[in-house]
Amino acid sequence: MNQLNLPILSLLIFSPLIGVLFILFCGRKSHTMIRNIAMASSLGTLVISCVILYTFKSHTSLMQFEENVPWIAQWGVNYHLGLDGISVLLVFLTALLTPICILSSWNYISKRVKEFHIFFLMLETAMLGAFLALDLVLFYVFWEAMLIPMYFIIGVWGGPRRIYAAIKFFLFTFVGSVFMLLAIMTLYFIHKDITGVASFDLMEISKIIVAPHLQMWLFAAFGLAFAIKVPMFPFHTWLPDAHVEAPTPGSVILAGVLLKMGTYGFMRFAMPLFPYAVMEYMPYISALAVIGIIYGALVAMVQPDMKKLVAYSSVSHLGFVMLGLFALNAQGVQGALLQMINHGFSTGALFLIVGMLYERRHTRMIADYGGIAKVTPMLFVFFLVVTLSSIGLPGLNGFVGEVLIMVGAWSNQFMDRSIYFTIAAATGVILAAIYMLWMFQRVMYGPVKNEKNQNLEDLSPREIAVLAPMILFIVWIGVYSQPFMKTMEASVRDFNVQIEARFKASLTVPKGVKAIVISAPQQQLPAEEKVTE
Amino acid sequence: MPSLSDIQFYLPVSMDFVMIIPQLAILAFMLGILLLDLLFSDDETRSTAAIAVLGLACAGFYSLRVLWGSSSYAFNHLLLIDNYGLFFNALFCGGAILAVLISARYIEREGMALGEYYVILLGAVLGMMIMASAGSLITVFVGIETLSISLYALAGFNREKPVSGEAAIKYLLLGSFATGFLLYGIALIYGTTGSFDIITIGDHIKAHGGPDKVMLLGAVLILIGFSFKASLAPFHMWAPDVYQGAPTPIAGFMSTAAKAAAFAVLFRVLSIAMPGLHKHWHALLYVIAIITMIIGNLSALGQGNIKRMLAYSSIAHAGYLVIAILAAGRGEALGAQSILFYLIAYTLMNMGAFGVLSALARRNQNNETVDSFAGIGYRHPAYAAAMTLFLVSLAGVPPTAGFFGKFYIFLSAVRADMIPLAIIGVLNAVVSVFYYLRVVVAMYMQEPGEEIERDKILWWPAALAIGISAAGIIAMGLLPGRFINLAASAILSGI
Repeated sequence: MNQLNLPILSLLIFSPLIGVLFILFCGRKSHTMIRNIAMASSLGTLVISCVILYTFKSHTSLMQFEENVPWIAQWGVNYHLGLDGISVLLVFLTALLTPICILSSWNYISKRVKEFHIFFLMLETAMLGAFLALDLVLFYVFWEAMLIPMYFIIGVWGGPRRIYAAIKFFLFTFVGSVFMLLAIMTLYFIHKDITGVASFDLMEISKIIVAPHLQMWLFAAFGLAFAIKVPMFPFHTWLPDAHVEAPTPGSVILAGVLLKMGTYGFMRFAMPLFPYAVMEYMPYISALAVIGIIYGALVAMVQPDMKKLVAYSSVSHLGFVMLGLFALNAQGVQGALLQMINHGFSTGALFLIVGMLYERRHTRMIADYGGIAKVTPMLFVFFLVVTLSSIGLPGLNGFVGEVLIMVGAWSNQFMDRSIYFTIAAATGVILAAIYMLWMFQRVMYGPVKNEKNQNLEDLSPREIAVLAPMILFIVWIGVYSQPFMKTMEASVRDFNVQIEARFKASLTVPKGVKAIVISAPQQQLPAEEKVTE
Repeated sequence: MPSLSDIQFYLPVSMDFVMIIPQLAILAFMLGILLLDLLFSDDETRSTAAIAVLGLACAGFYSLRVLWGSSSYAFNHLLLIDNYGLFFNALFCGGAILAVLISARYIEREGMALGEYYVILLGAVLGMMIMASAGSLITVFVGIETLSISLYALAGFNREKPVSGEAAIKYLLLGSFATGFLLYGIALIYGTTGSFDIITIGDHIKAHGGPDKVMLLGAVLILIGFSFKASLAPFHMWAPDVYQGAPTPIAGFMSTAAKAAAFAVLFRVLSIAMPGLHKHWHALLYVIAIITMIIGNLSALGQGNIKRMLAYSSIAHAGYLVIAILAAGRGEALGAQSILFYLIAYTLMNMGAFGVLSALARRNQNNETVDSFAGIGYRHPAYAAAMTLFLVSLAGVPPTAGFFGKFYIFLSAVRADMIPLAIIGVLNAVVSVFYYLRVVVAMYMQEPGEEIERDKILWWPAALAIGISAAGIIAMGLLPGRFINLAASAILSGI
């Protein structure tokens, strides 16, 4: 079993559904009741995730809290869950953002409250499941199951063009995933033919290494699904629509968690399984990442709409994550992983603040604001911290991640001329400063031009409660990132070792053979750490 | 030519009758209802419905529980009694039970409450059972005709509605034409192989190596006849008009159970009688699969009427099933199993969708359009939730039966090295998402237009049928293992 002797991951995944069950029995009109139940249920999930984080052993890269029972025995599909340094923080992020989103929707969602909370909790279940699944089919089921609730959240509670945005979101993601499904099946049969074991289990399938030419195809299929989700340039077009139309909690969860699903998918599945293809595609993916960084920043700069600006800034930030990830060294990958968390906090907080402004003035246009700083001093402070975090000011979280990514990308030893990529990416940081500060300046400073802005209310205690945890982590990671780095260190080290070993192994696959069985490299425990039970 | 003295006369023994108890049960209930109906008052069809459900349940139960596992012949190879046929018996009965439950209120409301409705419905089931167990081309023909004639009558059952009559006439004309093809094909095959028995035909074709042209022509004509019944493009033209005009529960029944019957007989004949011609029919069906999926899905995109949209979608689903047949033809057991698994899933989700349609319908109202579903999500939350589940399942999104159905089929296609076909298949699934979601969009995301009067009375049998379908879809989506076992054991014996 595991260190807690409990199926704690299943408990974590399905705890939101307990809330759903209770909400189902609530009356349609009892809004407060529904909100309280949703809040309680998501806080319960958060508590479970804290327990997991607390008992998580950071010195090993092995899967922890594993649960593995056959699900569809005939096909070799297992209900296999597990957690390691790569997923643990993402799981925590998901569990933390959900109650924040529910709290932020307190006034914002006033129609169809019951349905909203049901979908939101279902979404949480699917997200947690996708981060914890170690079986390809199980992962795919959770991955796809996220679509339906998100589709409803955008389509029912979204802005004027919500239907278009919801369908676009659904179709884009679906197109990518169906190819991944075929790739999963192909991989399954290659594995079955060579080992005689029918299994979709990632741990089983990792025991073989596929021939280089097949890797190129399979990686492309997996990569398309993940690249759309990240989103990488040029697959990003669904993102601005979805973000702008989604209600605030939807945007927060979309930016905070759903986008990470793509980068996580690369880390967990596509990259370890197809290392040869990773090396081959590396220059192209890095180039697309850099294009995404600069393009996203440039487009963000000219947006008159705050939400759209933040949406495009996501394209830019996720470009950094991809760049760091494909550097394949300790700094790059750690930076990417940390930046995934950072982006969840800072962009999530940005969307929350934009949402709060929207609730007050019912406009998101930058031009409608100006001089708010004097009217709403609390909002000003929060907005300032978040803006600076998004830019990457030293002392706040964005800085740590970006620096690590830059260092990693600079010293990428698998790619020629990686320096140029890094330099190009660095311009993205400068651009980020321009578009964020410029927006901040236009919204916050100057005279109050618009009469309606004269009497804006400052943050309510509820809104402070929504933003405070985000600010806490933004500062914490910026000042003392050690605990966060420590959780991922072993896993990231092992990730890089595995990829290199598997890359070498894929070169040894003889011609005309689809795959070979490899022995997994030994997991190395650092000498100074003592294994404590 | 065999002389008269060569012909052996076969006298049925009691064992033959034991083997066809499900069919006999249906027949007995058919006749029983016909008689009892005279005793009931004119508008009393609910008791008739209850009796029909009882009969169907008996036949299905007997097939699955008592006869299950037998592998024998009845009536001198006219019928093959194996798990494959028994599985389909149960599937038809299940589909028909759902159809009866949905019909019970529908036919009263539409003013066509006649006991004969159920008699004919049972007749259709009888025809399907004969088709699925057919061991000879003659029985195939008898089964298809029994089914078709029943369906012609059912399609036009709503005598007051001109569209219903139109549907019946169209179906009758085109259907008889297709039957002509089938009959001609059977004749040519008989002429070249000297037998109606599908096993003998299979052996003959294998033994005599390369097929001659007449035999090929015969096989193609038979295939055309089946393709019509299964609504495969380019023989699908009748389906949208007929489904739209037919009473809604009947449209659901035709698109599920009747289609399942067509696939049952198609697959059996292909795999027993025509493995020797595999190269030829493989090529033919490969093309048919592609155009069926594409035509079905692209045509569904533009439909404003949900029944019509579901008709085109059912054409597309037939295309996916052909992929499974192709995989099975290449010797993949997965392919054969996936046909059965998919048919269970498809029956549940499509009957469910038609069930919601008929539950929400009202007499003489145009309430089958996508637009008329605007805002249903908040006015009829339970129905809308069920409809969403059915549509999402039809689109193949997990965790539903439809997902694992498609998963199974594409798994078999990948195994059979038909990756291009699988890619075309999944892309079609993506297209289909668009039109299924359109209904969901209308139900939840659009403000209702003018209030459309809908049936306010919750008639529990219809709700029960919808509930069964929904529960089945979720069960198959969360724990498909049992159903995979069922499909696998139905394939193991027999074929």
